Amino acid sequence: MNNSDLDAKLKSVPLPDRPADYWEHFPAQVRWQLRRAASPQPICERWLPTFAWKFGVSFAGLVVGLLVFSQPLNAVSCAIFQKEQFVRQQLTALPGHLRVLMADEHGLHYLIAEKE
Amino acid sequence: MADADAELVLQTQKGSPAAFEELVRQHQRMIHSLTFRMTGSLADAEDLAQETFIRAYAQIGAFRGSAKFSTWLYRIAVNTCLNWKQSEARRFQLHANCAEEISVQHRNGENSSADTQANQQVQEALLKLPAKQRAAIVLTIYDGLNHAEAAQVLGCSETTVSWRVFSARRKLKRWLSKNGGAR
Repeated sequence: MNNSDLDAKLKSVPLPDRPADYWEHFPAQVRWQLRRAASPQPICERWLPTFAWKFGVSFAGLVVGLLVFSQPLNAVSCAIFQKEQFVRQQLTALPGHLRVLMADEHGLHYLIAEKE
Repeated sequence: MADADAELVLQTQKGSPAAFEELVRQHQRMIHSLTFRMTGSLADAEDLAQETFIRAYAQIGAFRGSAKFSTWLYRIAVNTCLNWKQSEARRFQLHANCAEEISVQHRNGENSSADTQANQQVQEALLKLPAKQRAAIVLTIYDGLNHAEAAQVLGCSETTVSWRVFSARRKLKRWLSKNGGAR
């Protein structure tokens, strides 16, 4: 079989024909598909991803916030526990007068009231 | 680009859906023909033709008219067909569907049963080709594009097209001769 025989054989196979109304309606069908693709999705399909994103972002914000804000508290707690003996002495020496205990980078501070 | 196409493309780019509908009307048979030769299934050919026009509409803003509109559309259609995935089971089913569709066409007595069988063999042989070789055959033999035009559509070099056509012809000759397809 040479090339022209093969070409003739390939071309001899006709395309299956479609009814005339198919060709008439096909462009409108494409247009309908385009309109459908362009129209906004129904709310029920949109809320879930939006909710998931908002929930995710809020949760991440909460975790970051807790991590950031828990650091000073931890530092104060550690400072107080490290000076537990000193705090106990002060509480014994000034029963009912110690009002506030506070720790910062300069050390431990406390507020003593004049009256119980 | 043909003047009529150019005007319709321009109107579509300006947002006229009616102009695009007219472009679809003018090129629908060409695209259906290509998608049918590539898939061997009327239903898949219809889906792929629709997909081609939907993609064309989405991309028409980027069409600058450096190539013919039909060449540009062919390229979209071929890429759509090449991306069309078919499992082995589906491929097997398609061979059966294709044979059925062709035989239904010729049941009206226009062709003899020998012709129908030969047509089935040809279509099955085409579907057995790797997709890129099939695309090269469809564009050059069925649609009459020269190798340079086919290369533009397929996004490869002329040498690659020539090789694909050569390789596909060799396989088709072997399969169709072996099947006793010569009439």
